[in-house]
Amino acid sequence: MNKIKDFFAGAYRAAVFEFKCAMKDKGILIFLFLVPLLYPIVYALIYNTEVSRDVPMVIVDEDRSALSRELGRLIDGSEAGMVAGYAADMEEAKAMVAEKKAYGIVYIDRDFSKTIERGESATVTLFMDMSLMIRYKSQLVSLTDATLDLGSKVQVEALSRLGADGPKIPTTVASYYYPVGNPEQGFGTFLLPGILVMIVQQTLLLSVCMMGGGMNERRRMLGGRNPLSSLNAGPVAIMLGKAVTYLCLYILPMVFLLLLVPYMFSYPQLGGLGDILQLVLPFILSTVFLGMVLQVFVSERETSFLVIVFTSIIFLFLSGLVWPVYDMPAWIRVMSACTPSSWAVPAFVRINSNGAVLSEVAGEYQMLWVLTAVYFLLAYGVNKLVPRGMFRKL
Amino acid sequence: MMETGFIRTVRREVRQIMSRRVVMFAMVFIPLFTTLFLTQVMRNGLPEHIPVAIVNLDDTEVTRALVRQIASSKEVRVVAEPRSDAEAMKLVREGKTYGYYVIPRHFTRDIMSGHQPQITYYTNSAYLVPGSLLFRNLKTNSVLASGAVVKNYLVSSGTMSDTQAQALLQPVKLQTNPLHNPQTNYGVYLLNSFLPTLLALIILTVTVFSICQETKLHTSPQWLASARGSMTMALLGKLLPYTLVFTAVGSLMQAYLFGYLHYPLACSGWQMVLTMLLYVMANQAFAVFVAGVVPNLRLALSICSLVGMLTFSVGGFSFPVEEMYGSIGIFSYILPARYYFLIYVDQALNGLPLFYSRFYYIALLVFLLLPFTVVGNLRRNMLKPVYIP
Repeated sequence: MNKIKDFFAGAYRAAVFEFKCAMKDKGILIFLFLVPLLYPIVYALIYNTEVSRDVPMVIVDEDRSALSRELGRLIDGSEAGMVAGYAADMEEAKAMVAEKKAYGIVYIDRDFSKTIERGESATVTLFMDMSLMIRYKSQLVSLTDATLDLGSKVQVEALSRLGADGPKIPTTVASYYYPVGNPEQGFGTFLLPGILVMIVQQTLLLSVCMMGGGMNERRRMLGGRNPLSSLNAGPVAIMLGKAVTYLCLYILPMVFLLLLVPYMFSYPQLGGLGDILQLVLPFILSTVFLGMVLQVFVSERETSFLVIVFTSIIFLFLSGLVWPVYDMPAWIRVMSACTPSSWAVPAFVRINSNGAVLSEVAGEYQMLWVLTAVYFLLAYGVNKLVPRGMFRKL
Repeated sequence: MMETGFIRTVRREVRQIMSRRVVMFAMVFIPLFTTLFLTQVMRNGLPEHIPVAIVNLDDTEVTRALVRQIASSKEVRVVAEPRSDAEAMKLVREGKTYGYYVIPRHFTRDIMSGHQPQITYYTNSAYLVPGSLLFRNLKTNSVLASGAVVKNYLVSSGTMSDTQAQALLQPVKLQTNPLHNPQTNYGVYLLNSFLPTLLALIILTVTVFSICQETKLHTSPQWLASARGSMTMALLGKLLPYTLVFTAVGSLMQAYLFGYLHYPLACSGWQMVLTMLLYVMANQAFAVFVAGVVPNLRLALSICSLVGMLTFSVGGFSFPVEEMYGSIGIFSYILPARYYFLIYVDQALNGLPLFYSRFYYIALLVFLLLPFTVVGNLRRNMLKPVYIP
């Protein structure tokens, strides 16, 4: 009985101590509060326009017929593209692309309208600058719609010319497309939910590592003494106490990141509050324990920047948001499985954007608890073994 | 006299780098590992075999042929044939598929009797890349399917010849030519900007770290003394070893992308190496400027990390700068990475004459002037080192 009491008293002392250290540390406060506050807003502003509209294209019209002019009008009228100008030949058009006055060339050959009038299919050629995928996609959409529109006009005319003697043909199939979870297919709506989860993980990792670096520096400065030793608490109590501190500290930023930001910028928010909170618990715990593992490699506060910041890029790709994980080589899939965000990002995206409930992200949820357990044990182990570990008394 | 000061500073710096494993790790291992990592992620150019479901409510010869046709394309892998929309949507929510295709009841009967049937397809566009690839595949398939049915009818009823029917169905065809990246390889598009930007992030943080830790460790007077009191020489001597290492690492990245993976390179490789050298120096200059304005190690590192991370987005490598709000778009032009990217697009990807990139090169050179504005400030700080944790 006394032992249990001692344990909780120790954990409590460790929690209060960690809390005081964090509150006194401007660097940690920046990463726990300022970065989560500002980053999502900056990102949202960057991607607020969501899609690339009216991508300028230059038209080389060698046909100069009513039909080819109609195509130009249709491109200009589409949301995705616009006509930046007409060029006399390909050379002139290429010069316009070189000067970035246009990002694509629409080439209509001399026989375009004649071919169609003969009742054959004519071809429009589109040359695209490939510096940005999003512009490429816009041009493709604009031209596909324009050629289909022009095609159906030609079709109607052809059929009406045949009149009552024309063939009774079966209708074509209509198709309807629903982009689920991101109706506008916007860039911000795609990237932001994942980025928000990444911000939680990376700021937590940096904070825990900086705290560890600070502890090591203090220890060096104070002649090898660990201030925590005066707490007189067992290793498990210290770890749990610390974890609880971060959990409490992160409540505010978490509510802001995962609930308020999607609301403010009207990103999809189909998820239930309860589901999100349940998911966040093992996510934060596994991240904090991972931080405690990495902590022992950080001898100074500032070196954490050099080694932690770049991992954001790696972790973002490991989460499968940009590129599906199943298509990656095995060694990368293993790395992905070991990272908390790789489970938290897809789970959060599917809860918030696709309206999944917790049982539909059960796999991810369970894996987060598995990682929590694994990193707890690992953190316990390395901190015991490594001389720099946080349990060292002297 | 000056020369010996310079060389002494270089020697001192090399010793420091050698004694700090974490700096070597950041300079060499991180960029090279990330290069290997990202090129391995995108080794297929585009994700293949995206899992989809097909809800076939009209089980006939015609629809089964349609399902087979969809299943045979390389982009998709049909992993389930659920009985209803709701079941298919559940698979999307569970993350087992990225989209599905619904063939309605009486599809075959309707198409033959002149009632227009509707094919519906859904993609999970919360994932942009698989979502849009799937869209392209499903759209093509539904157009082809519809065309095939009508064409079959017209040809078999003897009303028209094959080509006539084809022309009636699709009078205007579109031929697309993605210039210099015909396979629309995602790696070509993404890695030529992402990897140099990652390098910039490392250059910024390592440079600031190497300068500001002198004040933290109170070694800055000694640093200045090694250059015989000249701040400019002290800076040049300190930065040179890093310039060499970073340029070597950056060129290795380029060699891997352009040489080993055969990413498009329309200009001379040496031109890109020179551009890399200029790019490395521009980033170093940027970092010196930050260290001069904000001498606090932690704050300067925070600023450089934040700038470095935001560059991935503000740089306009995936989302065009002209679509950003004006006030945000401006920031992309204070970043060296933006100019490297523009030079890469003009020179390596599109093979334009140097003339078109002249301003980008000038911009990179202008960055090199930045440190001169803070030399005085830096000198003052180095003479009176104060570490604020």
